[in-house]
Amino acid sequence: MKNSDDREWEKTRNLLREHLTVPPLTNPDFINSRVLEAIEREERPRPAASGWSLRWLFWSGATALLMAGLLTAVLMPREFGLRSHDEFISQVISARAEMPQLSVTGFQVPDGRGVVLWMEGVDYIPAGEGVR
Amino acid sequence: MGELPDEAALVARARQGDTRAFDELITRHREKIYMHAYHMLRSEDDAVEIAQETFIRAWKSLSRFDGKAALSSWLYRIATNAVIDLCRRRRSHPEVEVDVGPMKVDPASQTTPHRGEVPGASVDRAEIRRRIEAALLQLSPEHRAVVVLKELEDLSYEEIAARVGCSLGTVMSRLHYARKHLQTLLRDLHEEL
Repeated sequence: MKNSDDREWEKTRNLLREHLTVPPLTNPDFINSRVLEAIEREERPRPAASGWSLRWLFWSGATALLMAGLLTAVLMPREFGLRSHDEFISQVISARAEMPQLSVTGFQVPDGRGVVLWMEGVDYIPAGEGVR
Repeated sequence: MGELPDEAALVARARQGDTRAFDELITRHREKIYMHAYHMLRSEDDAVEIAQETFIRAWKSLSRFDGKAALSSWLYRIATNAVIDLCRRRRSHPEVEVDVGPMKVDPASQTTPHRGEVPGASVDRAEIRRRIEAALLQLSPEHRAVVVLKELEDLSYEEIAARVGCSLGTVMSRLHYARKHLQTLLRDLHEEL
């Protein structure tokens, strides 16, 4: 024995089944062709483009790293290695003056064949003064 | 019995990128997917669009189809989700009204079109259909799916659960509320009939 709710729903269900018909699919092959077109469209450019760009990115990155490594290995030890005195053209030997406005800098050639004095703050050296 | 391995073989070929095998799978399932989408949306154009969308989504995620469930159940689930997505898109960006408003009158026409029943006359079939469709479209897509699958496509609760992708309890609960809602919406129609 069905209750009233079930009977009510049965009426509604019959109404749905009687009136909610589906029109036939008029051109079913249209679905196939559209789907296959979309698949082809989506698959064709993407793998090629993304594959190429990824490969390109990988190889250019690897080459850049390799170049940086090589340059470091070749150039850095020469830059930071210990140097002998002979490699310098000149060196500062003193920087001392009695007058505060006067600055004197001396350069000595490494093999000891000469000294250059660079003086700033005086227009001339008085005859009575000597360079000590 | 003989078709199942064949379908599995087609799926395996399609997974490897064989579009001809996939074409055959579309041919086998397109009618049912279209009917399901039509029941859900009550529009031929929308149903065709959903059928296409379903097969395109299926192709993209074919590698995730494990073959434990029937292919048809999996396709139904994709179709139902596609319908739900479409309804959500339309809810946020409505394009057309579901219910038809007052008809426009062509100034050059000789007769005046009318809508609705003539007093005293019985409700005609087209009007009944329009009102049932309008009521069905007022249900949420999730509720509509279970009503359509149960009442129009005669599936069992288990089959509905597999095709909608939810538990048996959820199917029963949705069906209960959907029926109640639909009966309320169609009460006037029952009285007129």
